[in-house]
Amino acid sequence: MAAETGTPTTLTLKSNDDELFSVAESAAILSVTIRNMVEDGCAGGVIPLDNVDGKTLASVITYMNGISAIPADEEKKKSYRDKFLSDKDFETLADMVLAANYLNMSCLMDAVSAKIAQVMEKKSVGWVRRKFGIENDYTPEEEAAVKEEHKWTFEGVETDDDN
Amino acid sequence: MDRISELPKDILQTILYFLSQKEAVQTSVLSKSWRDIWCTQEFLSTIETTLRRYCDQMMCLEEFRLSISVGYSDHISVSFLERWIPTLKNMGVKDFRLFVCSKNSGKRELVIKLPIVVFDADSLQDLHVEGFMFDQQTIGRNVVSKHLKKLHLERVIIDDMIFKKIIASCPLIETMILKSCKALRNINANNLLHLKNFTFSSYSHDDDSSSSCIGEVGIARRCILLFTCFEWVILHLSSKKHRVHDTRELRVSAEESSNGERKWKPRSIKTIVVARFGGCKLGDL
Repeated sequence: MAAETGTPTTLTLKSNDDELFSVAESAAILSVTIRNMVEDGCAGGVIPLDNVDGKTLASVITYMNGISAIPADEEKKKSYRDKFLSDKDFETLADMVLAANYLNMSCLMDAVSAKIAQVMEKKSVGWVRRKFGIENDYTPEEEAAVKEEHKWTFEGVETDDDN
Repeated sequence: MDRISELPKDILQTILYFLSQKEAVQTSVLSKSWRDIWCTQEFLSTIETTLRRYCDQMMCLEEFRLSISVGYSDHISVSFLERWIPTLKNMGVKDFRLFVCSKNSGKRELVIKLPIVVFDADSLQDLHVEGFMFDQQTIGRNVVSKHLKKLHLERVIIDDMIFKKIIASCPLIETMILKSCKALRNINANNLLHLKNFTFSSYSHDDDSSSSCIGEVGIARRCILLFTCFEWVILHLSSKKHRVHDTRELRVSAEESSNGERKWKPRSIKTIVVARFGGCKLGDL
């Protein structure tokens, strides 16, 4: 890329709790939201990111730098993503997925979503409720009706006494 | 509200996209706010986007498994099937498995016609149909899915003629499961030379007795047979080529029924290795 031969441009990003971060433009434009701002010429000063807090932004920038340092090798990128997300708890993942959505970074969005999905995979409804603290607001009758509606998905999962 | 349920709907849908369709649909039971997150329309559009990406980039898709429930006048699901089933072959799909289930499985069920496009899938290997009606239109078209290896029909209304046509077009069937099929009286599977497993069950409590009455079943090939019936049936296991071990295992059981006699009339059974007859009266051999 032409940009890499010259002096790398640095952007300043500002989180919603007023932390400032410097990041190479080549890494930052992984975010389509930021790229659009750069292309529209709004990136001269500080780029405010109103929906991302400092802690999450720091993490996203680590990811931006890490992934953009890897040449076009999908396998290596994938293993970087796996490693990057491996020690993140659900709270952090939820912050990251919101940030990735806001920043329009599809690769991070997909990776975090897949990571969250992995937690739910092959688990019973009860387990998922407990794990994420989801309150069951169905009445027993309503819940039975929803289950009945999607009966086929529960085959082999729970042995209900179907009539 | 908890953290995950607070996430915007489109993010939750992206998350569900990474689950199997079964698991994604199961999330509707979590709580009221989850009820429609997986919703067919959105979900199908996600699958559609993926398939389109494969098409646009001319990537080869070898295996495709789809479980889909189709409701009454459910244009979205039907048009999805009609758009994509004929395309799969061009995408390189060799192994297509389809589970299609009618959405109204309650007591006052409306009979939904099976989308006829199902049999247009050349690469269909495994077809599992639950709760539909096969009508004349189904037979009006040619059955293209001649590579079918497994056929599972449950709670379907299918008459002898349509069944015969399907069987005649799919000679590679190895496993056939027929459960509570209405209007089907005579099953002639003699031309299924690859049939290895045949499970048949007419067992059904609340249906009218005519629905579970089977006339004749013919099988020519060595295979494992599992039968659960009431009413009586004539079983032809006529095989001249394979004289020994033709039928490796035959299990017959008759369920309790308040009306009608349970009678079995197995004919020409020469080569059964294991036979278990439970709770039924045998007719003349």
